[in-house]
Amino acid sequence: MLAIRHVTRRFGETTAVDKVDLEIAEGEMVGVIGRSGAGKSTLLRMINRLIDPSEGEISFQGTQVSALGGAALRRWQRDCAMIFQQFNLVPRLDVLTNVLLGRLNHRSTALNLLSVYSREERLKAIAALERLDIAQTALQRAGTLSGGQQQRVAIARALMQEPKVILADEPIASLDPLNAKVVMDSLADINAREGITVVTNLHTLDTARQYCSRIIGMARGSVVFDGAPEELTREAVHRIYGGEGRAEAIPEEITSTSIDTPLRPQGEQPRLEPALAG
Amino acid sequence: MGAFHAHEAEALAARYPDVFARSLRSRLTGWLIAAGIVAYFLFAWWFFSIGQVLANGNWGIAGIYMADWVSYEVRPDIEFRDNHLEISFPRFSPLGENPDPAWLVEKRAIVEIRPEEKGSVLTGAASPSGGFLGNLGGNEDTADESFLGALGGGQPNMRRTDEVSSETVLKTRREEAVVEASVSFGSGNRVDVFPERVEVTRGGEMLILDIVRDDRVEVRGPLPAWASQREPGAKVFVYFGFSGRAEIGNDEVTVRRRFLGWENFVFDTRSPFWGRPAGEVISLIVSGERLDPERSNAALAWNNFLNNAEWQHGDVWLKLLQTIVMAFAGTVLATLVAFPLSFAAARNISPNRVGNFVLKRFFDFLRSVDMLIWALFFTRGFGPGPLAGISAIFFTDTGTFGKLYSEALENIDEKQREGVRSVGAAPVSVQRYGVVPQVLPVFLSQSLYFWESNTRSATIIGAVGAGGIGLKLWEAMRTNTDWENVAYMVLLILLVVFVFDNISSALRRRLIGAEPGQH
Amino acid sequence: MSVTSPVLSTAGRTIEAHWQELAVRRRLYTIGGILFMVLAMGGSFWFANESNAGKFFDRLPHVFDFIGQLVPRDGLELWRALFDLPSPYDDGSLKYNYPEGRVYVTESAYIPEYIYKMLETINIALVSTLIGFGIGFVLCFLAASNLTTRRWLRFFVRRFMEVLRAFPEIVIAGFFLAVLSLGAIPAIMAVSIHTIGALGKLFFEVVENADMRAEEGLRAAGANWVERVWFAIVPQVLPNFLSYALLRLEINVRASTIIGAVGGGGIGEALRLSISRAHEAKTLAIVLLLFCTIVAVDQFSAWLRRRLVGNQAFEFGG
Ligand SMILES: Nc1ncnc2c1ncn2[C@@H]1O[C@H](COP(=O)(O)OP(=O)(O)O)[C@@H](O)[C@H]1O
Ligand SMILES: [Mg+2]
Repeated sequence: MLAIRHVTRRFGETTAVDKVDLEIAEGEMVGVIGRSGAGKSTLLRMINRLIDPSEGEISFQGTQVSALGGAALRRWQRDCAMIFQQFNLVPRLDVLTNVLLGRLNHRSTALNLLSVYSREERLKAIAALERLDIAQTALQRAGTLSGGQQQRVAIARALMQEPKVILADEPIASLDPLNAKVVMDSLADINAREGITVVTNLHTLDTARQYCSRIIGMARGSVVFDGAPEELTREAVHRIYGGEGRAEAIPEEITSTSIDTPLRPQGEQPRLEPALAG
Repeated sequence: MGAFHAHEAEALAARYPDVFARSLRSRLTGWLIAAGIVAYFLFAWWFFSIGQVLANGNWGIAGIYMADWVSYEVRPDIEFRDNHLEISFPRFSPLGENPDPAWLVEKRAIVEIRPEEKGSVLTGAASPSGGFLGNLGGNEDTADESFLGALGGGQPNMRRTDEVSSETVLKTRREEAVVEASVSFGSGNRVDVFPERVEVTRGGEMLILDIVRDDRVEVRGPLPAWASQREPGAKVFVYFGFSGRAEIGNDEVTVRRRFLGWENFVFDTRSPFWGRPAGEVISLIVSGERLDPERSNAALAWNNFLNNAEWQHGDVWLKLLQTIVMAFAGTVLATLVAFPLSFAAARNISPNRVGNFVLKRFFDFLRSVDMLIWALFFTRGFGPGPLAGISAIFFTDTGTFGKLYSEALENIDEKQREGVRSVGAAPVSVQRYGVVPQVLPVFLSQSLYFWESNTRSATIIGAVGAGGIGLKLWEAMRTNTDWENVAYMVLLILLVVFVFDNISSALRRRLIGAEPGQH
Repeated sequence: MSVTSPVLSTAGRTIEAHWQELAVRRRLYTIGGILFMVLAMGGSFWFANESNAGKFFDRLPHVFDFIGQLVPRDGLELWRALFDLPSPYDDGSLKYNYPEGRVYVTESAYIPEYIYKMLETINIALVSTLIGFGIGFVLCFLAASNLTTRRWLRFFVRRFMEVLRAFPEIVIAGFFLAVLSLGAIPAIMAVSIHTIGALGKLFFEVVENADMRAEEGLRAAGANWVERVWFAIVPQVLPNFLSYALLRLEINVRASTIIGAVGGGGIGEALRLSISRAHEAKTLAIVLLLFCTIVAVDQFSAWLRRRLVGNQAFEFGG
């Protein structure tokens, strides 16, 4: 279980995340929504420890994550894969090497620097790529791929980490609707099949509704909503996005980018479409 | 992601054969490049016979040279006489005419002095410690051929003559003389010299040497690690690390006591201000009585300072100024000449293809005939001095600037030029308002950049003969004794380069907006 | 300003007054700047002329006399000097003893002296560039503010590189000449030490401008510092590094020639000797050789750089 207690993060005057308390059970698929600047990214980056909380603590399965340092911290980061809006791949290296970089923390630094990988590791990397349906690009430079393909490479890299948690910071914000669907489907599939906890920041309400079993709404650094998608009423949305006094003034961006947006029928589990059969 | 089953793995590998083949190849290229570099270094090792040169290097001397950068030695000689000792300092000792350092304690007593035979106390006798490189652990041969062969030769150890008069009376006389001398090397280490015995104490250990005068040095007990003797009876060397060392021979003890710092940096020993504390010097300058009736104390002090025989402040500064002037005048001249030429060389400004081509090749020619060649030629032309340096920098950089400027001109934004032309301006005005405002900051920024780097180049070509601080540095180095002067000049050069670097980058930042990556 | 100027509003007049004021001030600055430059240049020339051995106007008519002194006795002399062929004018003096100094590879095949010395100089430049590249490569990451968070370390590494860059090369060469006597090592040391500083500075500026997203991605995956630098930064900056190193190679060929002239051996020393002894054919041969080598190295490096980073503009020098 991932537990976040009283976590606060300040950047100078601004408080990006303000006394957040959350508990996320294993195997959950959590969507975090909120306006831009609400503190979503900061929250995720604190969980991965890309930045440190100013106050409060984060623990995972009883380990005090926010107190780790050095090699122990890097082991936690290995267990807690992160996916970025801008993919954050190494554009000049080929796709296969990018995926193999997910193994960095499983191996010795010397072997890493010499780029010596065993056949099994390479096989695993290709299997991961195959699962995301981009194995044919294995030898291309990552920088030459399209956005959707790059994001899938990033997910394959995350899989290579053999993580317990995947954090995704707006993974589909710079993708076209079709690619966005492929990426979200893959995340959902990983969540369903491997039982890996997925916490993802989303900027569109309907995607969150469609894929997540639990939605957390943030506004000005605080959690203002926490519940199942169906509990996300108009007022709740209003609280999250703060519609300047009028409930109908919800910004258009929140509801528009996805291609098929049927509201999930009440009580039904999200429809999982594995990215690849088998 | 568990482990694979073997057949799954095989199937996967079979589906992507090129991935596995390729990864082997790309890994090999890395190794091949690394192996190539290693092989090249091995070749260079052989080509320059680096191993041999390093092995023949005189590394002991390197340490002393390095120490000389920041410290100095005082070298008293303690000669053995029948029943007393005679202490003398070299004539140009940093301690002045009548040294009486606190670390050298003499004990005097009335002794019967029998006259010495003539010849044994000749003034200026060739001392074993004559040359600075003379006796450093038996490396005389290598030391001698080092560095253009020019040994400074140190200062000859002139003995003081006043104590032995020329008409030696062949009678004994009773006189006060030194019977015991103790040289302290700090923290309890010392050398105690008696007329027939020397006691060396270092770190609690004691070495006693019996002197059989003009014959041999006998060691009592085993030699400690910090002492050495080439053969029984020969001279004994004792080392005290940085603090110095002593050579104990059968006729004298030669002491080298090393002190941190630059000795006599402000006033040399001939100056009337020498040896006075700073407060006294200042009060003398401000309100003291005239030491020299001809001029005020301030003028005298300034003069003494500039003409300090050891440090030659005035000359060093003058030479430094020459170097600075070389870089400055050369760069400015090159900028002024390259500026109009670059307009003629830029394809988009002057449409004459032949002219463009010829000018550009001319720039390449100036640049490729190296600064060294220009410097050597102009040293012949103008004689050694800054004019040669200015000309060398001017010729090389006219080529460099011409090339850079014309490239900048060819990359300008045409829209501005069209705008000016559209109001019906004359061609010169078009360049003045449509082109110059765009490129001037770039031009100046490039010139400033080179100004700073030319300051360093001017130092080097100075050593080739163009004069300035480079030549002075080179001369200071070839004597092998003036490393502290080298250090002083290096400090001055570093200071000048840093100052110019900062001025140049500050000006450049103002010209072309904040540079990325500046801290 | 008295002719039919349009009538301005109060605000317009204020603007006009301000503009006037600015124009006056700008003109003053310009005049002041020009005056300063004229004075500085005049002073410089006066000073240079005073402290020069020969005076400018006395020497000016004779400056290019050396060109006359460079004409060999016949056109073939140049090639004889270059390829160490015997000269018909050989009178046993140093001037015409071209075959002296051949470097025999086998019994009969030899490398001509000057070509061998040129190779020596090029190798000095190459070795120094490689050494400087290697050490500058390691140091630059420690000096980059986006990779090294410890201020004191960054500060220390940067100052260290600045000192290496500004330290006069001849002092390093002179010191090692004193210790090692002759050989190429003093020149290699001098040039590499300067190269470390110069490349290190250029490199860390490249690193500071690198895209940090890949680095963040690896950090999130638990990579340590070395791995992050190696996999996220190095692939990005390597082409620029190589291109700067090639530029340095061009500069280092010149630098090692100069260091050679002050005692580091190689072609520089041969040139200095032959010029000072007025050996016209030898001088001409060396100048030709040096010129061709520098042009060839420049062209090669420019071609390789274009392949590495495209038509990106570069400063050179440093
Ligand atoms: N590195 C930083 N330095 C300063 N302020 C930051 C930094 N990162 C985020 N912030 C501030 O913290 C607040 C939350 O940002 P963020 O977590 O990125 O929001 P979101 O991801 O929800 O759009 C914003 O006001 C932002 O300006
Ligand atoms: Mg964000």
